[in-house]
Amino acid sequence: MLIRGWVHKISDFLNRIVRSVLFLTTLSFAGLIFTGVVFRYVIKHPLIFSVEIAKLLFIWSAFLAVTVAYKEKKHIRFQFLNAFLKEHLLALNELIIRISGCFFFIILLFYAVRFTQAVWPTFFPVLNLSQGWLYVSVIVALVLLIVHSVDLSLEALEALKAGKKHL
Amino acid sequence: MITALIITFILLVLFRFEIALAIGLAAMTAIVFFSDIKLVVIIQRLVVGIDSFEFLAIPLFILAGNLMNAGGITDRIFSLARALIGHVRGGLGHANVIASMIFAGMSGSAVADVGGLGAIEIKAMNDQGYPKEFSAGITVASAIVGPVIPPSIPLVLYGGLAEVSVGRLFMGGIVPGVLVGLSLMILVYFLSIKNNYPRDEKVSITEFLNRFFRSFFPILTPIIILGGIIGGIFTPTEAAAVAVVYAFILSFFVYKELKFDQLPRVFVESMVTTAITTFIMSTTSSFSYLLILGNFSQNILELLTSITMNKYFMLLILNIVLLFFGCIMEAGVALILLVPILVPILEAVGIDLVHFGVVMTVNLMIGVATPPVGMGLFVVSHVANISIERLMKAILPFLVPPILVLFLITYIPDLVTFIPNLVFGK
Repeated sequence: MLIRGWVHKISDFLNRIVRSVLFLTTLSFAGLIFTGVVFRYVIKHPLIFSVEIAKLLFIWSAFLAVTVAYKEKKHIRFQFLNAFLKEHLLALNELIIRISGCFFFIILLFYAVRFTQAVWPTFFPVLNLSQGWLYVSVIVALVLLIVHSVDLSLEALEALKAGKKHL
Repeated sequence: MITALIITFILLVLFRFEIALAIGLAAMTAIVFFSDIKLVVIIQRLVVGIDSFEFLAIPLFILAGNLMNAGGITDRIFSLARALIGHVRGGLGHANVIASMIFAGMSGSAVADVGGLGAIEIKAMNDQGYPKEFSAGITVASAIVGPVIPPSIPLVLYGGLAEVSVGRLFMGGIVPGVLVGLSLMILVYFLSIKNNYPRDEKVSITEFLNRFFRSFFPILTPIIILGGIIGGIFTPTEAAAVAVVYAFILSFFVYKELKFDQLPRVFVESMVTTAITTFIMSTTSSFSYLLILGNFSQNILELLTSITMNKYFMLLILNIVLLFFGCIMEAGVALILLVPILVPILEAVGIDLVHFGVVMTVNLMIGVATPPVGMGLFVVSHVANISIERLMKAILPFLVPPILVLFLITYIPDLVTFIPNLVFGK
């Protein structure tokens, strides 16, 4: 119970931080693309780096937002089984999904770190920044997904113990 | 490997795994147990799957729609549509369709349409005594128009995946979108006459002009977006950013209905909605990679071409298959999974990729209004306070006009390709 409480608090706290960062990154890439248009057509001085930075910010935003959607159970899934399985079996199903997800993310994290190290010496053509920064977003997202998976697994376990329907 | 990949995916989806997770786990299983490929390929494909400047348009068009919803712009659009056509029998049904067509020119998402406009439309229709089934049904059906009339998120997705000009696809969506809207209005007209549905008092010219000027700036949005793209001033992604800034200026500075403290939520929710699609795109990238390695497209191509080499019969087969996929799969997921498989088939049979992109979008958008995964149904069921079972029955007559339009644009390709060819040349 105590562990569940702490994990839940950490997961919530991280999610709040990610939501704040997400606002800033989304605002930044939207603003940057617009600024690129203004510089090209109004000031007649194209911002050659704007596309690369906007793409980098978009990829960071996309992976961070994946973690928020995962934490808040917004990712799409089919619900056929809900009509057929009893409540405790649904809770067991949920627990299996969360534990499988957790293992999946841990394995990916291992390979993400190795791949990031491998691509680190390659650079964006204009920014002269390591392309590894693209994959750091995957590492950060996977760490967050693992924390949320543990939280959701414990939540599912609690629901299973309580024998109530868990969706 | 392909069999293992597909069976694992189907089993995981049936057992309620998130689709993106199911795709990723299926790819991992196939790689580990049935191939010599290194697992690191999944990491590479996660980023490659979304690393395209075109895809930045997805969150931006969603954001533009959400800013307009938060800024009360949808209210103004519905009010204008009502002044325009509310005096006809079943006026609010017609206004519902017209408002969706106007809003479609500002946002690219069917869910933004039903989520924003839907609540206003259904309340007005309930207040005037329309049956819940009718108001909910037409609200879901009119949302089909949203992603067909440009800008359109599914067309951006298709353009990125099939490597086709998004500008051409946008132009190609105009006629089919208008046809779907008009066909729905014809149905509304006959149902309204039959059931003697109410109509609004005709508004005076002064009142009409008043409502027109209240929504004048919002209805300029499609002109700015399409004008910019046609004039070569900006790309579709840049057009989306311009739409965001324009929606923000209107909602925040001009109409003053959007409050500063609403902004973080609007931005974050738009990105989270996007991430639901991009996560599937990321994991599907390795899934598609494995399908290509296993010659899956080639096998499907051989199977289909053994049945027919006639492109019109092929289009019929593809439409039926897509209608089925649209019923069981969210449109974005179906696009991400199917476009890489279908493109080689289309090229082999000589089907124009722009024509097919619009046909596929209209086809899959019909899925927004069909059970069991039609997002439009779920949103409207909640908004209209009507059970999903009742709504599923109510929506059936409203599916007939879009399906007729689908077959019309399938077999008269000029309805799609005329405007893009006119604007951009053949």
